[in-house]
Amino acid sequence: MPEDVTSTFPVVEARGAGTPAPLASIDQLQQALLGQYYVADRSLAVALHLCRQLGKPLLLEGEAGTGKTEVAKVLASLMGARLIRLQCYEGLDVSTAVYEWNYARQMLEIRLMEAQGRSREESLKDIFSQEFLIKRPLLQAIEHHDPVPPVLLIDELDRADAEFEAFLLEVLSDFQISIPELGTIRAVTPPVVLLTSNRTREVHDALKRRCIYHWIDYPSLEKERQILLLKVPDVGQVLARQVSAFVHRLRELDLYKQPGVSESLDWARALVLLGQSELQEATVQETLGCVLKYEEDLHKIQGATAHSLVAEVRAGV
Amino acid sequence: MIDRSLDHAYTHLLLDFGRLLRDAGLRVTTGQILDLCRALNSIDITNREEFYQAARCLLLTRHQDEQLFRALFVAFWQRQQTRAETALDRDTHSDLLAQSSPSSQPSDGGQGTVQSQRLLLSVPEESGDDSANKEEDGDAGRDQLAAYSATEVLRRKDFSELQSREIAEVNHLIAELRFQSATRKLRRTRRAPKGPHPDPRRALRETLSHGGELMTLPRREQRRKARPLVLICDISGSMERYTSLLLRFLHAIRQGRGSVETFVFGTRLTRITRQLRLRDTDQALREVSTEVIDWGGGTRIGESLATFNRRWGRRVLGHGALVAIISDGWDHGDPAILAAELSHLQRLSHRLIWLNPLLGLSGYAPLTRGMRAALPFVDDFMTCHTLQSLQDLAHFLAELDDHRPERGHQHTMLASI
Repeated sequence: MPEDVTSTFPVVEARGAGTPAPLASIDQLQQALLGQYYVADRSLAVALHLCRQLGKPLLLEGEAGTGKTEVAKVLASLMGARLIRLQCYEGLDVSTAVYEWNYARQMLEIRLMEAQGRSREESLKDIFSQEFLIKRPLLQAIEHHDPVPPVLLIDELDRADAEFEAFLLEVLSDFQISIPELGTIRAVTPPVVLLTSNRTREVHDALKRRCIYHWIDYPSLEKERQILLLKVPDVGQVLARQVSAFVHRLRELDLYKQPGVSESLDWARALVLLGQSELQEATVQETLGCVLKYEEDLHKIQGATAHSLVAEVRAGV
Repeated sequence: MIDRSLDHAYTHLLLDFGRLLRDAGLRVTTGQILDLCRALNSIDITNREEFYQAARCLLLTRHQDEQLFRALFVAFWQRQQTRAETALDRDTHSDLLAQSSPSSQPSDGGQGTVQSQRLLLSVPEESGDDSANKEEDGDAGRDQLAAYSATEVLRRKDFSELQSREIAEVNHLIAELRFQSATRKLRRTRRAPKGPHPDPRRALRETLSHGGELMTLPRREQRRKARPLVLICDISGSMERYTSLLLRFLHAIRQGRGSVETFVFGTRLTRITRQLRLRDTDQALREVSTEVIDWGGGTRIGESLATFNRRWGRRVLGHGALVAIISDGWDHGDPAILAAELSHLQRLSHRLIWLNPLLGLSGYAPLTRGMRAALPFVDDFMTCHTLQSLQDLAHFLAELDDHRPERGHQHTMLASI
């Protein structure tokens, strides 16, 4: 941890992997997140706390690159829990999300049994056993036998279709899956569920109301500076302040894709690698590609605008 | 463990709050309110911000509703506070003392409940890490509600009546419109797990890995493709008040769609598709203004349509195009030519829509020669004088099905005001 920031952040004791942090109150949760280098707003801490206390899923909506997926990873490591991740895409269905029978192996097994001349009842029991069941993320989350519940991250829910959302609604209500050949599998400890959405489309109302809702916005100037100082160890006070001020100004301009926190972090790391301790115009012009990913945006900012922004940011320091 | 004192004192308040939100149009279920009641045990209810944040994450489901939610929250609990300060000491004070038992109170017994209720009912301030400015608590609620309803009024205001400061707002709203294309079925098919047609080729290939057994039946569906859209807009003198806003609309409708061809006419026809392809609205409009030379002049609808039919018709009207003509029908040209060319255009298109901003005026009837000549050849006669009407047009275009409209000199007239 950089020494400059001890006044704002608590001293964090080194924690062994798998040792859960005390997370009983909202304050403790916020401090623990900080200890894992994740700067969380108070409102996010409240939402996470209520998610664990009430057992309701948490839907995180926001622009891309604002740390939605990151919070799930950090929460899992804080709780000493396993992170199970389901990445959504269009056409995601039960066989890719919950379970699938390993047909190829089952066919081979049947051929072997035929050759051995076994009875039909025995064969059927063997074919439809756990050995031939491919468990996908949702089933893994439900069939978890650890006392610590897993963290189930359903990422980019807006990319899945309406049918999957309806199915998900059912699963999240009861936390049980029925497999016709094996029976119903119920969760002993229901998982902590986090859903994320980039808002490319509206998530269905019924699912939204089932969840706690939290919108993650781009961070404030001060918060972004803290994030940079925490996550990029060698960035230094001056560069951190300048980078966050620069990116903040960029977000006020009319761009097709505003830079997110991950872009600021990438840029800061790139600048540190290039041995910069403050923003220099030449380097900025060269490395703008770390922050702006659209041709039109780059064209707009490179040159005169970047020049004036750098001057403005340096003067502000 | 449920805190019994909370049950009586707060539940009805929270249910009232839920009713208020529902009346304002935010859909809040009783289940969510009950979750909030349960959540009160987990948060520090003496902390105003925490209560607000808990209420927000449990009752709100859309980010764009937050402004309204905050306004209603402030208004509701402000009202509660003024009511509480007068009535509290008389009635509820003794009730609460009677209800609260020593075991359920954390520290000071009855006094603590009364104290915490007072704090709970006071108005929360905006917390520093969440959002921007500090406001006067009393006015905040009213201001935000006013802003919300002002936008709704603006959506329904006729373009010709907009003040200069409102125009900027409407421009912004137009740029935010989202359009979906109407689609048509293609003959080509593609893989679809739940499609109507079985896929024999794929089924055969999959049996190879399963030793000749068919496990699942792959399916196909017919692909759909966006219909081409052709927009022909009148920019003559009589349309002057609508022109700039309509051009922005033409630019916005381009975004995210397949093939959209845009033309403008006054005394002659100009194609502006290429200029509108620029993503930046202001730049696109600048390019258009240098290209077009007959702004705000006379109108020759028939002659312009003749140019379109001869030069562009075959190129852009293929594959069941939707054609929309935006004009008030004031014409200086020959109505016979207008009728002939429009009839030709109608035959070549899947659907011909005429958008007339004057339809928004009460008491308007299409009596001019131009409009009367044109109407028999129009499939849909609609208005385009407010933002709401543009949104309705967008919905209409998105929901068109594959049926060809009935023709033979009949038209459907849709005036959405």
